Amino acid sequence: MTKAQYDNPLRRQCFDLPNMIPVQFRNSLESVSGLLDTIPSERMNKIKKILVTGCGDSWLAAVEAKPAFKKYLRGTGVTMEPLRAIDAARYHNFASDSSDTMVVAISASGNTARIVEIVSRARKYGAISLALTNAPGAVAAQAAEYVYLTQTPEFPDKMPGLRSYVASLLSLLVMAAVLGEYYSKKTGMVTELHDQLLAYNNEFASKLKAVDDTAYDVAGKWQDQKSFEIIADGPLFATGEFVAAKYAEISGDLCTVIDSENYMHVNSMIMPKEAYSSLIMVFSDEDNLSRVKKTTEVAVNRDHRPVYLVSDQTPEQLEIDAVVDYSVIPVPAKDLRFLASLYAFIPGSLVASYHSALIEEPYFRGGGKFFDPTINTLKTNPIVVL
Amino acid sequence: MDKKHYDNTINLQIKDLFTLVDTQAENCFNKDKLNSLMDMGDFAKIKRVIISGCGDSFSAGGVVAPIMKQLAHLESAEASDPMEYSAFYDAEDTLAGRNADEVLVISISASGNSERIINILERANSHGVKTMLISNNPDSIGAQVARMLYNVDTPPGLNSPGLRSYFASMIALVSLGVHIGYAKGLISDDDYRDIAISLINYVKSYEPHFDAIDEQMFALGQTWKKFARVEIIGDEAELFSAQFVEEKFIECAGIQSAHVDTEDWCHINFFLRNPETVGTIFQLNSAAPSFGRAIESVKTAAGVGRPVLVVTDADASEFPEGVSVCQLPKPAEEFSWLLPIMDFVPGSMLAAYCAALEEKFFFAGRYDFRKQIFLT
Repeated sequence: MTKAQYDNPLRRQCFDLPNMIPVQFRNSLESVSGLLDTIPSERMNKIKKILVTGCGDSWLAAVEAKPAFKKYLRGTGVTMEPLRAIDAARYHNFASDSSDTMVVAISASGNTARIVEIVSRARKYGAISLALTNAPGAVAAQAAEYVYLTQTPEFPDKMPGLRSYVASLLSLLVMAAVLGEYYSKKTGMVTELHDQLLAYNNEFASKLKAVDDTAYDVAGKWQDQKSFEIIADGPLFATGEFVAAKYAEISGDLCTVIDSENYMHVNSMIMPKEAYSSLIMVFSDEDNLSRVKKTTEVAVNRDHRPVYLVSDQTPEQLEIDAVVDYSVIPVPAKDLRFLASLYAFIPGSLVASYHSALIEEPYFRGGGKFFDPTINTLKTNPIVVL
Repeated sequence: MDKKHYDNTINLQIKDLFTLVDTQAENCFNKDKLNSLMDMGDFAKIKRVIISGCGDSFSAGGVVAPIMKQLAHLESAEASDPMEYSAFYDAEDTLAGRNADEVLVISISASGNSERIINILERANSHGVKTMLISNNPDSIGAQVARMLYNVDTPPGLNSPGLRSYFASMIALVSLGVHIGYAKGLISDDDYRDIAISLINYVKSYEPHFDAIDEQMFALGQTWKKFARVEIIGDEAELFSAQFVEEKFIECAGIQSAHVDTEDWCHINFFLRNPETVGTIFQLNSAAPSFGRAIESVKTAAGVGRPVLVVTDADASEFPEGVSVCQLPKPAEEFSWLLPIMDFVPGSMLAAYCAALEEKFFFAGRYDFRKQIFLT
């Protein structure tokens, strides 16, 4: 058996990212710039809050983009808050006059009932409603006042959603920089983002083959494991949740995600301990490093879990004595750390993709009842605008 | 089968809540005690609350954060996992545009000595905000680091796995929400007392139903004990009570478990393979704005072949046939927020029975729930 035999759609999407990302940046910039020309300035100038929401991967993109909005909107009086779709649709208290609010609802396909509900709700309360989507004719785009089209470059493999996630996330990062310039009246933010992104993109591309080799190796070792868990903190927690989502979609495994402290309190008791493999992610200059090091040692030496460590340094450099598989990935400077979110999911996603191929599990269970419209009602469940 | 043989420290702790609630309410709905922490003027200034803790304590914070927000008209109330707050929050995140004296960071730890709890408090202190430790140990290191100690003073008793402490933490947080609301003039003396009484009465309203719930969970445990995966699904406050139940499944039975909201579950974990082997619990409040959506999610879960338990105060007729429904006492309409204070009960019992029926000791085999001792 060779690695090439287990090539798969998710892997191909990962490998195309270095090609896609520069194009996606240009497309997103074009769209968001056009959008600013469309939304009346008197409405834009009232905005104090940007609520960003979406379902599944899209919610994770909102979470991952928050630090970019924080950086670029600093000092402008405008803040960004990610919201779960169910919270935006049913729980968030909109003021009767929410003209100081912009709601960005993410859905690549644009046909999810909850997203239509959210943009309709935003309109009801006078907020700017914006659908971030790749489908200009979809119901979400029609229900929203404005559409931010990702214009994601075409690619043969579309499922499971990975390019769509990257397109949404990158579109949010570009939006953050563009809005930063708009509200601060400063320039250079978009250029900085662009230049740093391209440099990081090239750096990551150069590591991709090595990461892939290790991911294949790890997937082989983990093939018969009962299940998987990701241990990560801070922004990497959402990255972990994205990888977990890929497991659910492509191999049908429940992959749990836990922070490095609560692993010690709770999830280390999942039994039998050695039957669960862990992907652990950490960056060496973050304040959680000492905790992650101890957790890694415990996971390996006490709990006998197989561990795949993804970091910007080797285990030796991190002074981790436990025996782990590992990949070293580049990391952007702290000020632009959010760029890592565009790539940090790749090692875990590759392992998941090889796992699915090795166990010959069809993506999304091969359709059938999982796509029976009487069961899967994502598009059709009742829309209620509260 | 003699059910008594499977009695364990979860159902014993739950039975104890019916009397513990009197003690905890008395200890917590205590204006003099709370005013000794800071004066009313300082309570009244609070606009933003961040709650953090490890394990069950994080869950308690997540359950009560939206309740505090509602009771005290807070601009923002959130629960943060211990690593997120202790390693990643900077002053800008903590303040979120407010003045330092408008922000209260609460860390919860029964023992008060965990390194992470101390890190949380130190980080919040460095941001200049009000810091409070909710604890049962006034002599702890955390108590010295926090600017305020809220001693919940829980009487000694069973707490393995942590359940009474979780309950006590939630009561303390609710009382804080009420007290902040009182300081702001939003809650009258009468309302203050009524909320405490309603909480006590609601907890006690489970007592007549305890045996029936216990029997139902014991019976369900006969099949669920073989499941390798369990998911618990809920929204907002119920998302975190779902997290607590997840923790009990792991601590008691070692079963891999996860919690998720009613919308996102349909997008992702719906696709888990062999759905007939994934125990799926919905924790649903009939008064919640997402209740209608949740019913659709229950139908989806049942339709794809998941074994489903719905824990709810709604009528069983709301849900499709074949779904197990555990009916909870319904809180009074104006106190619908009380439901997530107690809706962890059935799922926690089920978790414990899944362990006991398989003769698994709790905490990865380390805790004998019959002798109530740790083995090593």
